[in-house]
Amino acid sequence: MTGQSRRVRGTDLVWLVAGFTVWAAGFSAVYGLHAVGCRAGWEEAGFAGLSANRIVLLAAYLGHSALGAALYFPLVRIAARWEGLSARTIRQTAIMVTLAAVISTLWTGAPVLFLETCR
Amino acid sequence: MTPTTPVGLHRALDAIWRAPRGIAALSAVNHSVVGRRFIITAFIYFAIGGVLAMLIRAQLARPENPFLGADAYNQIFTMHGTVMMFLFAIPLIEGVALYLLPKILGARDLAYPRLSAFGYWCYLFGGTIILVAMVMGVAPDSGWFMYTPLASSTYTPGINADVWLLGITFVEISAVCAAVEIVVTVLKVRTAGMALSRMPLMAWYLLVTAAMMLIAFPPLILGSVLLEMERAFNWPFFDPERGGAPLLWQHLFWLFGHPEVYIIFLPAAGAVSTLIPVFARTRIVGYAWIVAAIIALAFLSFGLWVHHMFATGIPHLSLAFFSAASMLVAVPTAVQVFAWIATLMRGRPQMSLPMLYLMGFFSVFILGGLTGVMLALVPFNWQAHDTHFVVAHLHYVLIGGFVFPMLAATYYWLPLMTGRLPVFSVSKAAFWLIFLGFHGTFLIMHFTGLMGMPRRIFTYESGLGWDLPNLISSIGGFVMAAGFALFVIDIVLQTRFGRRFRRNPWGGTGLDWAMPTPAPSYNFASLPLVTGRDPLEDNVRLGADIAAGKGYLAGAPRGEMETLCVDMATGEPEHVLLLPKNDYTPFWMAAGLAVFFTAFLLSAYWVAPLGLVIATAFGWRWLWSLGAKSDPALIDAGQGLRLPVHFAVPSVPTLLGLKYFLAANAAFYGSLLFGFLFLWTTAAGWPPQFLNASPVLIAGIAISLAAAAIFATLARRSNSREANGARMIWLAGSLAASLAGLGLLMGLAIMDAPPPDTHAYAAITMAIIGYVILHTLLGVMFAAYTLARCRAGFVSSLRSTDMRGTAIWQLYTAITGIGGLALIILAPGGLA
Ligand code: HEM
Ligand SMILES: [Cu+2]
Repeated sequence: MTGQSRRVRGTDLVWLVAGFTVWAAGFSAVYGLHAVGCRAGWEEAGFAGLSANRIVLLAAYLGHSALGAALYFPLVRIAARWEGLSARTIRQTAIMVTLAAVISTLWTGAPVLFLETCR
Repeated sequence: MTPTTPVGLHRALDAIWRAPRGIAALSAVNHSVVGRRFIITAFIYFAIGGVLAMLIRAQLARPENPFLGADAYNQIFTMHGTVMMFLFAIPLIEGVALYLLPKILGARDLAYPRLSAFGYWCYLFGGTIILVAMVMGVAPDSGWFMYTPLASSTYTPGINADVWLLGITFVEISAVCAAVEIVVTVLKVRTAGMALSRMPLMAWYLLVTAAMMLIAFPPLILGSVLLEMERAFNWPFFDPERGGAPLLWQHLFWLFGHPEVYIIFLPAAGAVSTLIPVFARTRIVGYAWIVAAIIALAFLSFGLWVHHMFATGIPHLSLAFFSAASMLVAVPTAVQVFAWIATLMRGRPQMSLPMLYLMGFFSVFILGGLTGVMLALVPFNWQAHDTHFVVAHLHYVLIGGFVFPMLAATYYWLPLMTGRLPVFSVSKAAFWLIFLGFHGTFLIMHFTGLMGMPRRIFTYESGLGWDLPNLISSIGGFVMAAGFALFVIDIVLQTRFGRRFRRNPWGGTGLDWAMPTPAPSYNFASLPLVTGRDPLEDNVRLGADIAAGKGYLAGAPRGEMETLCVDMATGEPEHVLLLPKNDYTPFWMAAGLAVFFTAFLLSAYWVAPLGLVIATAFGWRWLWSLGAKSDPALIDAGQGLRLPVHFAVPSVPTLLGLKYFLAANAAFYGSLLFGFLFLWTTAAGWPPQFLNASPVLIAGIAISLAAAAIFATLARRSNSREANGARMIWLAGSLAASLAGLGLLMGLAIMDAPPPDTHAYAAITMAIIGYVILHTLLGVMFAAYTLARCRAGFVSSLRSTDMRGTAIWQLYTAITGIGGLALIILAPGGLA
């Protein structure tokens, strides 16, 4: 596009998997923390009507969702500069996958918003 | 004089590429040969699995049938599932990938021909172990997923379960090898101009599938290793009496098992995406959408495993995550289905034999998807769990989503192998028998299941309403079997008597149809410059141009087997890959492993290490044969292009392969650490006794491992500066540090760690320490190897593969070793 544009490289392919890597990390974190929390008795502690367990899970859920969404901005900025063969396809695909990953993170973790934790 | 006519080029190339005959066939490494071996062996196992299915159906045809007893029935359904999944489906995919990839990517062979040959022997030997066990009546009998405690030594005392654990692990080695092979080949070994965006979709599908295999198989291998350790040496990972957890096995198995379903499905979907545009005479709709969908599918399929454990009393919240993910995974599948339908609508579909099988796929698979969504609903799952409803669903997905597309693919690509077209009427009859027989067997089985008939029971009483549906299922099963028999006959007929044709019978647009048929041993007489997604459409004379040598690397003027390596994204030629000649090393290395596994199976624990020594020796020899003793000159690749040789560039495929292998290895280790955490959070009274590691020892180990990594990196840097004295000193330092680390780790294992057979904590702690010991030992060997290579003159600033590889290995060992030790000592009771 501008004078800064450069050829798309092999390492740029990480953008094809970055979004869902965050999804996977979020999924593992929520699942793992839930198990640890129930085991360690975080259910009892807490404040403002929320158990510590719930707070930790919400933090992991919202944190990973935000992180996944945050990937979008550098991606569009960087991908706009790619040029050469494959640049367009990789850009399109990376953007689609990154957005799909955010939606997936929001969807799969959503049960922490309303289900009881340790039953 | 270098030949320039097509015939001359063919002669020159065929002379060095031709497959060896007679006993020398054991040394063949060419992708066409190895791929064909995989495919044929897989179909033989399909026939065996089919015969077992017929035995099952014969037994269930009538109530209280005295034909098979409970014991035999258990072995038969276990073997049926095991053979179909591990010895038929996965190897068939590997075979198709290995056979096709170079042909569709415009290459002469794969990135590491010897690796896939090695994988084939592992598959053959491992499968043979399992088969021999079945013939001897000691086949595994705990179901294809081998649940503990049923598969523990208390309940399965014989060697039946060991056959499964060892045999399947052996076979899975080949899956990991094939996965590394496929990933690197797709990313690097393509023809000029084959940018990622111009790759046939099949290559994308296989790339994603192989990447999934790298992550999905290690948990299964780990589970098998742990269970075998429990059975052989009494290390109680899964024994609840001693702090273990039977559920850990289920987690490890399904961590593999669900992605496995998609690993099977994706390549089949790749075939669908390839065939539909060809027969609709158009281009695929939504190329980028499909790529995005399969990447999403690959990840999401790892978030589903617990849905096989809905009935195990896991907290509701956890179930909800997995239920949500299970529904989500339908979306990318739907994206592909819409792309296919849109493509059909845009084009002018023509009925042909492969299309007929694709129609079968569509009708069956969609039903299977519907029942799958039903099963993803937790309450329904509790109802249908472990009934024949699940059996019916599973076969709709597997036969609909895998077998039908693969049959279509067989009919599509067989002419490429044989140069002949099918004798149509037989093929059609076969299709209808398979199709009708399939529905006859499995449609009604849904109702049998809803009426409450459990799976895996060897017989049932009359009067429960199950008699008639079972009889119908059995008749349907035999009709389907007749169909498959006809299919085999048809293939044989086609190979022998089929109609000959000149190029491209289906009007395909990919490079696979730009070669003469039957495909020559070297694939392409010269490597074409690709200018779009449909090279044959861009240039209808492409085939003739390639044969006439109007491309890169025409002929074999240097007497070497050559192909191009390209930039991953843009497909610009980077270097020339020199491929290995035929070699017995892969065979002997696999034979060494066969000794190891067989000895272990027969509890000859003192012979087993001998097998490992043999395998290691051949592995060393293999590595030693790479590279050269002097810096190679640039190669004239034709068309005015001069390129370096692969082992004289930093981006050599060998290192890429090492990195992907380490990714699989990390998945293995990650699963082990997951096991540690899992046992800690679920087992009661953890830990019962303490490791009490002395802090000095732990610090010593950490420092040694870190030093080994740092020294190896410094050695690599000295090498690229051509400081040849310094590189030897740093390498020796790395070797010494690894040796020191090894000694200290042994000290930790012997002096501090509690005996591993006392408690699951002790067992899994020892397993982690053992992993680090093994990697440090290999680090010692790599450092020593590279020292020897330097002395022998194989290493220079250009030829730096050995140096880089050792540095990567030592770094990996340091990170995983220090990470694992940190986990152990931070957990309660770790430190004295
Ligand atoms: C050729 C036609 C086939 C027939 C008639 C058939 C029949 C059956 C039947 C009746 C069972 C249930 C046994 C029981 O629970 O008591 C079964 C189980 C199974 N089948 Fe098939 N099958 C066929 C093909 C396949 C194929 C192609 C695959 C995989 C690619 C496959 C994979 C499985 C698996 C994984 C199980 C579960 C085994 C277990 O419970 O451990 N089958 N099959
Ligand atoms: Cu599943």
